[in-house]
Amino acid sequence: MNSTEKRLLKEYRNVQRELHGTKNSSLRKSGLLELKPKSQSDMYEWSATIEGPDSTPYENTAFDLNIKIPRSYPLEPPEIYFVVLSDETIRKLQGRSSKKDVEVLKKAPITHKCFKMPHPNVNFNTGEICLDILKKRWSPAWTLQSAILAIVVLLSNPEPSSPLNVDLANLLRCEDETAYKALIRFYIEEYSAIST
Amino acid sequence: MPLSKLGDNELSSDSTDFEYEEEDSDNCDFELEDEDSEDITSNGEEQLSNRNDETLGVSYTFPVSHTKMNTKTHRMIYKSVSLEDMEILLDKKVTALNSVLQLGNNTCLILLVKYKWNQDKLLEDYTNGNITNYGLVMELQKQEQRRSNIPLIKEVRDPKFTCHICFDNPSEGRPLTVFTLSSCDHPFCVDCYINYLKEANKDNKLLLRCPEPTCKQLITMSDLQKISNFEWDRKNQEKLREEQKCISAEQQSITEEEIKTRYQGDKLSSKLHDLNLDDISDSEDEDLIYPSHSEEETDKAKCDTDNHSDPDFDTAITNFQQQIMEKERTEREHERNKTIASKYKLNLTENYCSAHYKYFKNCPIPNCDSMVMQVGFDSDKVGTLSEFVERKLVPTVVCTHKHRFCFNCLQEDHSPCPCSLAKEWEKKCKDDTETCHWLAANTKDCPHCSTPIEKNGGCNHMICFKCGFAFCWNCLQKWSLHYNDFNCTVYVGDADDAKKDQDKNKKLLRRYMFYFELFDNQKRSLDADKKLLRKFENNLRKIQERCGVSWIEALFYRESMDILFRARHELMWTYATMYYIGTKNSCELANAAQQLFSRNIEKLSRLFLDTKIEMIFKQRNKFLNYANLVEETRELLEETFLDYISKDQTKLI
Repeated sequence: MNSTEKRLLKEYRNVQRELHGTKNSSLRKSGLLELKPKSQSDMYEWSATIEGPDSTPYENTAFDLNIKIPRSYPLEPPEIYFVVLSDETIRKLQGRSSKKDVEVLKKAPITHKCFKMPHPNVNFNTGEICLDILKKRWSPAWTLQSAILAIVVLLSNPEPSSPLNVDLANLLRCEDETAYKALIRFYIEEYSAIST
Repeated sequence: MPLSKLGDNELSSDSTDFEYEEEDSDNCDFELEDEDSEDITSNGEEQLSNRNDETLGVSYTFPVSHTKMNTKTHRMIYKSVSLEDMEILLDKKVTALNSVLQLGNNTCLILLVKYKWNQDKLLEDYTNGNITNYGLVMELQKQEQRRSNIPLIKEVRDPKFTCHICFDNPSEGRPLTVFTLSSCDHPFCVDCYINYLKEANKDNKLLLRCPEPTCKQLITMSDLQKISNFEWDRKNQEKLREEQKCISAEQQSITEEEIKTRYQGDKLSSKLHDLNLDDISDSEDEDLIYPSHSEEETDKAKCDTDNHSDPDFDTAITNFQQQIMEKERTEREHERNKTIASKYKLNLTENYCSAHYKYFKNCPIPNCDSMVMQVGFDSDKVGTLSEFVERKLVPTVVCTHKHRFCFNCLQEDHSPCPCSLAKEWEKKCKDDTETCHWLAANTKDCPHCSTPIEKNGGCNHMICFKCGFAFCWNCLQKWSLHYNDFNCTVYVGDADDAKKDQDKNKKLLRRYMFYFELFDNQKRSLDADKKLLRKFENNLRKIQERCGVSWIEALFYRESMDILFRARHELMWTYATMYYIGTKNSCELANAAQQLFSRNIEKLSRLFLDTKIEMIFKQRNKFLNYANLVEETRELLEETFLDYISKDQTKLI
């Protein structure tokens, strides 16, 4: 086992202990619902589920993230993407809900999960995130957990000066809060699945 | 400035060395520094007289300040430097800045990086008191003061401690070695820190920070040096240990091999005692080389002996010098990448040079890493490079590896042809050569309108597609003369030549073809000479060893060879220049000089070919004479062209 895998294993243990060890996990309160490798055989592909922060248009909604970890981690940053599905797949999902998702969501008082990400710093079609700590400002002392939390913070603090979604950023720049919030809400309603 | 207060003559000339030269370079950011030095050192005039001193190490793009016709040669002053020289220059700059700011070298370096090397702006802001990131300055200063005797590298045994990079913690009997910056207290494993710094170096980061995301502390040069030294020492110790292991393990086998080779060597030398000197020298080579244990060295040596023993191995011979250069380069590169600190310094230097790209240029020859620094101009009319080039002068410079190139276009030397014309010529050659060759080989011009016509089969009765003129392919006469007889019996004379030449375009093309052929010919002979003489040179090496002649005594051969190459190169470009200068009477002088030059070159070239290798040392004087002659005529030609160009600028096409 090399040093990268050793570190990932330790990170995994820490996160799982914090998420599931105690009932009212502070981590879950701050918006991280799940963070773990996709499969047991591959340490380098992780997935995460986050909850939109309160009093933002993203509240009460869950989002999935994909994490690709380079072999030189933690010297190089992980690649983190929002999971973006095609319209068709979302329509199919809206018909039925997968057991796994329901289980995750039960732990938080959330009703649905969105499969597109309307945000000024996220590419609407690919889910790519523009965040300095994932690129230039990355430091090996960051962890996957702290990186995901930074993304949660990004949801409530968008940065319209370096947008990947120009339309939303323009609304923000014009200080049209109402339209900005309404548009995001519309997308979330449109592309969400699982309502129990 | 404490630097210039030094009374010692030698020292002061040393330290003002760079500052002085930079004075000439306009709107360059060194100027403030210079003013300071001049204010304090009262002996400014003495420095002026020192300007032409060899010790300054500057060079000029033209050997003399006035031609024999008394035309002022505007010259560029430059200095060829290696990257190592640049690092020293940078250090000097930082020290000089520190003597003004008194903030410590570490802080000055970081401030310079922050200000993107713009020292003027930095000093201005500093004196006005509105330095950006003033907080940073204070912080850095505090850092500098705090840099006491805290051990930066220590061992941690507390099992509760976790390195936040590898998430490892010390266990019993296995303490972690950690490194902490002198300015903060965020310890990380030494290995993690080293890897982090290496990665940052790979990304060419100039401002290195403590890896802790919340910590804003910058890593200073002295901290970097400490961790870098630690790594270097550890590496060396490991190497030593491994070597010792190897030696103890292989001692037996080595002695066996030694005996074997010694035995073989004896046999060989007794066998070939007076048969063939070459082979013996080879075997001696091998014997000499054998004791070195390092693998790389032996590999290289093998390569050497291969070259010696196999003269048919053409490509290896022609590439011999390149091989040496490549090896030297990789060694230097290795040296630079050796430690974290040296790599960081290299990054800084490269960034500094690219920030001043107008004054520092890399040698364009592949694998050459030396640089040329523009120092100024030896002229009252020319102040910048663009003005220099506008005057149709060529800033030819020579790098530390003796590569000649044009400082303006970063192409191989093309003097005396001005940059703009050289570019045009190159383009023309690229565009027209192929076409011209094909046209000359496959077409004839219509005798009526001079349109080139290709005979794509059929009989000799041609009808020009443009003017409709009917003529015979064979004799280029009117077809009506042939009375429907498809055999041409008309004698081909030169009656129509005058008519043809009337076409101006045609004439220009002819002219171009004429000069191009000269140019091309010269290029070919240059290439051929180069190939052949490199081979000779290699043989020379052998003879040198055989006769026991020292390297210095054979130097004349190499030198005259270089003179020949350079002369051919220059002659080649005079042809291109002639094409543009035109056939006016005024260039008769240039023509004459060109002819003389060309004759002398051929003489020298013949001498090289005719002299048998064994006779080379006896012909030494002849070589020197001929080479000198070529040099003299080359200078003459250079001056004539310069005169011509600086007088008749407008007449250039």
